[in-house]
Amino acid sequence: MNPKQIALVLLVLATLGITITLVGNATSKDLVGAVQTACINPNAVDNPSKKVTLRWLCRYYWPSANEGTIVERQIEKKFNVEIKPIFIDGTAYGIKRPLIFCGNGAPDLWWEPNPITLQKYVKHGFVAELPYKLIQRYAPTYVKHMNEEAPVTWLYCRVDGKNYGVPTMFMGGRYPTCSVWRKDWLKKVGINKTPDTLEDMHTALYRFRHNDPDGNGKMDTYGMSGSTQAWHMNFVEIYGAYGIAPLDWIMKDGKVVWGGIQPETKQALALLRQWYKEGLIDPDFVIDTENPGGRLETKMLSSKIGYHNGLGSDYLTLDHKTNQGFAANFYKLNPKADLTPGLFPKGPTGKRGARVWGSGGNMTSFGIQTAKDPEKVIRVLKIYEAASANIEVGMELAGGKRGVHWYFKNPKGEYPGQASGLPPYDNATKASMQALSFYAGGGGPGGAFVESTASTKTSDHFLPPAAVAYREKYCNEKYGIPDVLGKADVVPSSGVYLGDLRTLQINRFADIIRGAKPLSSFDDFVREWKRRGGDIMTIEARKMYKEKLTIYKELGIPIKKVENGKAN
Amino acid sequence: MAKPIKGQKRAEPLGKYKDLLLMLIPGLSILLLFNYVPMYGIVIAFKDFILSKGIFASPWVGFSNFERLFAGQDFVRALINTITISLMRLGFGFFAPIVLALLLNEVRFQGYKRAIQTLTYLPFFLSWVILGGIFLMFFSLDGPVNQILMSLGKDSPIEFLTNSQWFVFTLILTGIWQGAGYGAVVYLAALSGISPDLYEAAMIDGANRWKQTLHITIPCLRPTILVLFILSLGGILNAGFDQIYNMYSPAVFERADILDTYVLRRLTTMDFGLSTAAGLFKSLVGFFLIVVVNAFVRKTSDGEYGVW
Amino acid sequence: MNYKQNLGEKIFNAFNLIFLGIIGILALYPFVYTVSISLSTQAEAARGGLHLFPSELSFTSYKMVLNNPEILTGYANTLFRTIIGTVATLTVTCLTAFPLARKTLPYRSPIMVFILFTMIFGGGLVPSFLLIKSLGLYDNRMVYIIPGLVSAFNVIIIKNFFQSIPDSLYESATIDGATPWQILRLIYIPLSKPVLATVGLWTAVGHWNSWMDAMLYIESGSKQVMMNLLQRIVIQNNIDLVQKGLANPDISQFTPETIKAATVVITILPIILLYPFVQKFFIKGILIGSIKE
Repeated sequence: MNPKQIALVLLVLATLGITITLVGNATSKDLVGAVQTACINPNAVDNPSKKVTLRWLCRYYWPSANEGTIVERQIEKKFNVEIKPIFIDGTAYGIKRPLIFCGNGAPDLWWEPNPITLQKYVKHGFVAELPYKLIQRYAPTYVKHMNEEAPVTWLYCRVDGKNYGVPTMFMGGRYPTCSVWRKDWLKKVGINKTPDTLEDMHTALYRFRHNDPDGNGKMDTYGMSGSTQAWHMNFVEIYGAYGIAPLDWIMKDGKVVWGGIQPETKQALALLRQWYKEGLIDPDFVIDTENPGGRLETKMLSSKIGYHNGLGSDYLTLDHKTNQGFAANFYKLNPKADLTPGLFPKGPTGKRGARVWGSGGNMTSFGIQTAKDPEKVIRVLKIYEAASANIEVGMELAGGKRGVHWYFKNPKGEYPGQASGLPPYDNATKASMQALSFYAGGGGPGGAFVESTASTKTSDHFLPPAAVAYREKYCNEKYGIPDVLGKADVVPSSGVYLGDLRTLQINRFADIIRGAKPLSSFDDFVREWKRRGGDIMTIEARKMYKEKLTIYKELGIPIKKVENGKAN
Repeated sequence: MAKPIKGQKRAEPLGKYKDLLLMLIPGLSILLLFNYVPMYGIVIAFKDFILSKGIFASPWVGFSNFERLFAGQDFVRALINTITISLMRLGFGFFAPIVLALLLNEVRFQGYKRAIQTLTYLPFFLSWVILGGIFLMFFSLDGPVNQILMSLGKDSPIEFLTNSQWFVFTLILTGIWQGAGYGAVVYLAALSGISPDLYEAAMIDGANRWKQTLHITIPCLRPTILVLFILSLGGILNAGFDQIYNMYSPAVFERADILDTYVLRRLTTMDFGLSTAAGLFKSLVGFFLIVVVNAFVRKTSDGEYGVW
Repeated sequence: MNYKQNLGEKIFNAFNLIFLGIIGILALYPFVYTVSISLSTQAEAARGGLHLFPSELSFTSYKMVLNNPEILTGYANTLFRTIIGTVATLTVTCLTAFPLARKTLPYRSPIMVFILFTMIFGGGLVPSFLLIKSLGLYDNRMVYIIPGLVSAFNVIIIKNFFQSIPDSLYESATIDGATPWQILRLIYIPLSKPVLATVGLWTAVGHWNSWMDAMLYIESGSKQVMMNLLQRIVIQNNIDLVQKGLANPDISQFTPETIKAATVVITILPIILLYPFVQKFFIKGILIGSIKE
């Protein structure tokens, strides 16, 4: 290329740039985005004999399914609908979904996992407003369970004071993860009682580090580990002892505040910093991996640490050495070891607890074109209602017929134990190709298409009584500290600020704990957090909280005084 | 070698090149269709892109997306990190495949040579998702690398992954590890094109192997080296997203947060305006660098080398 | 090659062989690790250390992976795109590079700029998606082949190699009455085996490893490729799935890592086996003789 050609290219680029600048300056500079919405008529009625076609973007756990699955045909027959399903996988859901919407227009309905994405889709003009009245009329049981068990989820569907979807629940989210101790290590270092307070915990962890609990003569064990990456489970029980969930909106003195900037958080950090200095915390806690929970379990499995928090309800029955999962592997690797569950440590003011996800689930939203065709929406609401009113129907719409496609594993009790696929659907992929889902506990049956709700009582039917008792003792929902708004990122401008601030906080807290920065840098962090958008988010969060109260009022949900567990 | 005389070139009729120009049609049309046609999408960088309206109906917003991009809190840091890491990769990583190719070229046992070549090429087959997982284990505080260092008498383990300076070192090292064998193949292919006559002549003149390498091998590799160098300069704002994304942690953001990871984290979803703006910025810088460096190379080599 | 080595050269040779040996071992290790993990039980995989060989062998991960009926389809699609895609890419790339290797070609410089420009500027996701859709390539296997047929990088590499072939060969063939098509097919391509093998291998590996296009442009399960399944197998075994969706009763017998490792081994084995066969084309001096003047 000679200089003349270079000049030509530069000239073209410059012209292009100038043109665009001029055109750009002629219009508004704000990225407001025209919110175009259409509301579904709250008084619309359905004609059940009319066949309704539904372009349905399904939940992303069934990427191998195609049109014409067992589940689809069942729903089509029962509710006189014609389903045109779209199945894409989890990776595609973030990137491909907007492209599909852009190329084909919004589907009639879709599963929406994230309140912020919903806000974006509303802004991009794809979502129909859905009045509460219509949902209440056609899905009363669904709404009743939702209001009792997970009312905060309604907030996720709220954009600019309007409702844009049907929320779902996630019951497991209100129970904190459990803590386990190496009982044999405790004994070895002369502790007979499972640690109860932060002081007890410190003593135990200190001896795990310094008293050679594995007896190999090397100082190669730590008390505990953590994972900055898995921030939702990183030292949650320590912050919890101070009544804090550091990366959530919490209630303090009747006000919504950010957990991470409270003086109690500084106290917790001071403690963790001290513990780190004494060598009690595994320095690897700052490392990212693909599977942080797995890495933590590995630390416990390989006897690097003697205490671990983060086990889910699958591992509840530690006594059952034949149980699968964590306990089974643990005893296989460490046949002489012993595990014991522990309560969350009690803090200086007598608090104990840990951050939880809360019982809020996801959402179903409807395409803007359904405002002209409300029968589509009503028919879907009727499907949801049928699945919630009768759990047998719910399971059928999600997993096919009992005895044909699936059976209950444990033959005792009313709804005992997990449901499991019958051949050939005992092969996960084959079941997946037919969009079959055999999962029913913890929030009602849900499949590729159907959402349903259930009461705690119904949901607990699926667990062995021992597991329920264990959960009530060690991971009781009263110990859970959920976000007062359900999810921290439900706040409108969280898309702009929260990502950076969360990174800043995780990073800074890790530095403080590791001693890379002084404890006083916490105060700098608080100032920085406020300045870099935290103050804006706080104002919004308080507004959202008011919005939540408004929603509760509109739906007739009683407001409990204490913000905790399912009561939020 | 008979070179065409300059004056002749102009006089030649176009018809003589009919077949050659015909050959270009499939390749150029594919590029036109799949690379040039979508370029109208660049306007998204200057629009408030509303998906339901489409690209053309969305309102123009001038440079707002760029303003948002440059106003991003950590943008400058990410830009500096990107350039630093890229330059270090270029400084150390660029020559590793050349050295490897030259060393392999010196091996006289063909079987051994081929075995090593095959082995060093292997890492290229694994994606960084997998390699990242392995290296996180490999370089962790109680991982094998630190265990070896400690047994050699080091007091405390090195924080390869959590100290931001060591992390950059680890990045460069593992990057070389993954890419050197792959890169060496190009040079080996070029080496295979060097006529043995040249070496024979040199030996007759009494040149030892070092001198042969210096005066025959390296000059013969020069065009290949220059082309690859220019091309990698163009990618200076791509500091290796896949690798960093799979290996970094908040503890090392200070030095390892690059443009791509920054944009990825900032984009919650559907902010195509910002991501297109970031992409365009990267492209413009890359374009500028390639043009300048190529012009420089051509000038210093009297038009002999260069990408075009 | 027969000539005497002096002491310095002998020392250098010995050092060189040892050094390259170490490099080779270092390069091999991750594969040993992956194979070892793929054969491990969950408990074994959780153990720390180098994982040179699992003390307790388990083939359950492989059984799980091969029990997936989608694997065969994925394999077939991957083979399809790799073979057809590589052949098509090499063909079109040679056709593009050959005229550009003639320094006298009219408009050569602007055409090169046209090609190089695509290396740096792109339109982005949205317009590309809309284009693919309007061309009818959405959910169509040809989307694996056609859009990526020509890459500027490959064109440059092959063009540069073609340029290293003496012009006199081209000119004498022209005088003998050969058309450019014949010259390309009968002279240039046979002479360019090393570079064609190199670019071909890169293209093949690229096809083998790519999953993004499948994720974006393919919807039907029957058209998915192996690499996309690899992603899914990992995703499908994550905790989200257990909590919210499909409960696989066998999940606790594997770790995502062992299944992933097994899938990786199954996935990369064929392309690794391919390499030694291609490698013979790199043998030094392949050009000698025919281009001597």
